[in-house]
Amino acid sequence: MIRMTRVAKRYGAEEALADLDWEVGEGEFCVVHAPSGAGKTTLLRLLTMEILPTEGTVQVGSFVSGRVSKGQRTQLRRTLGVVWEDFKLLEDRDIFENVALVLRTQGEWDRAKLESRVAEALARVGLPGRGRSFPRELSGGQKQRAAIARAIVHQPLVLLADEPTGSLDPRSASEIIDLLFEIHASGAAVVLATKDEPLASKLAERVRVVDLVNGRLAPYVPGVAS
Amino acid sequence: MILWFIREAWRGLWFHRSTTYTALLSVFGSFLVLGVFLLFTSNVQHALNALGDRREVVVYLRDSTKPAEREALIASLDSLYGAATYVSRERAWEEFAKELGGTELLEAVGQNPLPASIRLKLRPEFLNFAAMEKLSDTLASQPSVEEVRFGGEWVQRLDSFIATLRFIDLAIGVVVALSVIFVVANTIRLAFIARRETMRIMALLGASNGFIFAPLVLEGVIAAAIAALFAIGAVHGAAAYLDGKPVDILPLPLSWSALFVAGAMLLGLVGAVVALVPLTRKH
Repeated sequence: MIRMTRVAKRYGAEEALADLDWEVGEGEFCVVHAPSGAGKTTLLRLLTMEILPTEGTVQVGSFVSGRVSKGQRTQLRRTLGVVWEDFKLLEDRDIFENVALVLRTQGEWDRAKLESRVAEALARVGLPGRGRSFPRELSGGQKQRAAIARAIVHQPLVLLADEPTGSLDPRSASEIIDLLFEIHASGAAVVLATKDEPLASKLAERVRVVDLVNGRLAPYVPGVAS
Repeated sequence: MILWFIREAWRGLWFHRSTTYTALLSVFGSFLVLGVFLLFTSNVQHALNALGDRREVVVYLRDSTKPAEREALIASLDSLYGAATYVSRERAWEEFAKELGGTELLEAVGQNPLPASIRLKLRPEFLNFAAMEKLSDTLASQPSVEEVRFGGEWVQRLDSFIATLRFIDLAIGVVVALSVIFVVANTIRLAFIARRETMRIMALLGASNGFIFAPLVLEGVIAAAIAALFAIGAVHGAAAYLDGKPVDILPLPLSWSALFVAGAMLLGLVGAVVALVPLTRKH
């Protein structure tokens, strides 16, 4: 599903990732644990092919960096769901329009189908009937739920979550993690990046956790990458 | 689908109202200048057309012309160039006498010196100096024709005035077009910068460049159309208000108004494309 081979990413003289090999299998849940500035976001941006590696190759599904055109990058992103720490909901439209946008980018214009699929996604994340709310009317936890609804409405193969609990209170954070496990249980692979040591430690009991240290991935050892 | 993109464009214009108002005001100003000048041109052209209607060619016939030759010439002129009216020597004499206000003076002459003629009221396509001169030369070579007159210098001056007016229209049109393209392009560029993060998110959600940029292009078209509608409305309002004070003003013809708005939308489209093409390459 995801394969990174000898990947390096440099920004000028600064090396964000170096000689990185990593695989995530179909339907796997993998956590990348690293402190701020260690390259988690770079890693996820490589997976969406928003940026390309300086060296090595990134493969997501059938899309391989280096051979991927602008149009194919768009196609790749349609197979992914992405959740960010700051939600990135579009403030100028309601939650229905935010979630439906993903379906529209994929050519779904039928109003009835849009309504039923968005309603289904919102119900799945515990926000039934909140389609007409605007992002500013929701709490942090609700915004993240809405963002997850947007990330799963098109049933992606992989869900990328960049610090999804970073700006939430502990209770909301715990609910969001539960939600990610539910999505994983329905078949999607999940890659979760976090700097939260207690969270990584807790997740390590259930799924594979790796540390990102000095631009390289290593098996998780509590306290090493904090 | 189209409706959704229009709604997206409208949402963009509404959400960034301050930029939109500034752009609308600038574009409105440019269109107003063009609209006022078009109104002036339309009225002058109307007046000139009325004058042009009085432009005619007079074909003087030789006394030896036989009725059959004359009728053939009239039929030919009628079908090729416009309405031909025969004026006999007697009628010419009567008209001349009428213009002088009596026949006493003319009776001293003893005989009618005036030739018979054909007055030719030309179709619009021949109402210019070049066509009238060519026609005059052609007719003058006919055996039954003595002389052809059409007031060449006057026609030439009229033509040159119309040409100047049209040139000024075109020059103003070009300046306005460039300024509108410039304003729209800058507005769209600002909109792009203001919404860069939104567009980045859309791209990460799987939106293609076309999906992301189409609403921006429509914003340019809609803004230009709104500005043009207001400008044309102001021009119509001003024409109605000033009509008869002291001169009669005809409103801008509906076809001109429609073309004006359509042209404005085209300029909006060009402005948006000019702004976005370099940005799509980077995006």
